[in-house]
Amino acid sequence: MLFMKIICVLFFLINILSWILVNSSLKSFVDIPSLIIVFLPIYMAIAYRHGWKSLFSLKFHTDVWVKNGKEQDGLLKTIGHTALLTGALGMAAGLVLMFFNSTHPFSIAAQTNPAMKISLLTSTYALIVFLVIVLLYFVGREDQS
Amino acid sequence: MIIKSFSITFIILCFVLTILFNANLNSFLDIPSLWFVVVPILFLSFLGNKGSGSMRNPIKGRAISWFELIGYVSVFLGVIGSHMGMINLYENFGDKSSIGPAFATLILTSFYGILIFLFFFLMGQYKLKKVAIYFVIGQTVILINNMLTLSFGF
Repeated sequence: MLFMKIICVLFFLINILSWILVNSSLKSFVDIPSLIIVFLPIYMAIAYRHGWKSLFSLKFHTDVWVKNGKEQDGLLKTIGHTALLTGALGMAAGLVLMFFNSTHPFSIAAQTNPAMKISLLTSTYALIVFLVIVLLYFVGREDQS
Repeated sequence: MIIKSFSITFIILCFVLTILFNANLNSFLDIPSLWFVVVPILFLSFLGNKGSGSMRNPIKGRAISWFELIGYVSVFLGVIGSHMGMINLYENFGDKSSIGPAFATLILTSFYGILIFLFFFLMGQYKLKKVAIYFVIGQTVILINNMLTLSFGF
């Protein structure tokens, strides 16, 4: 059931967003370099594994993506695994950038050392993408007749 | 089923008694962490109950059951919540009054996540997958790292 999937994913995302808005500020959870580090490789991996035009020609049909009448179940796996790997790589890259910062080496506060933000936010984005993929893959499958 | 419910009650009683004897129960209740982990899990349990068939049986076409799915998602939510706590912690690192709530979020989200994972592990017929073990180990490493960082930071 597509409806159940969408409701579930929306509930999770809105829950996270409202939690951020209440307990912290949205400004500290948005970082352009980390967004690029996580989401550009995902797009490239989809393009590499499933073709350049696959993102525009795929249709979300009940519980799998369908392209030319064939199930594209591997797409979710591609997105999830790439997200986890880019999260780990971004975390390592952020730590390296942090420790080689010439002005404030070993400063872990995010105000003085913006690379700390990269190392934290890439893994957060990656985990959220992986959670969404897990929900899309599993939820709403059993009611289908 | 009787043995199962008895063991779960016993384990929860053990946790509560340990907390009561050694510390204050108030320090284990944190509203932001509860909100982050427990509310989505309640929603997922509602969805799982709504569907046809038992929650213990495998989902049609997938290799795991609803109980296992909820256990995995709780561990993921614990990891994401501890990351949220880390971001709050290092964002306002100079301000010492903000360290307490952020660190509470960091620790208690993973605590609740692993506790719910244990609960659903005992409820369902579990084939413990590698992914969940990796996430539990990763969470422990995250906690130890943060404690070391904080202790060297001051």
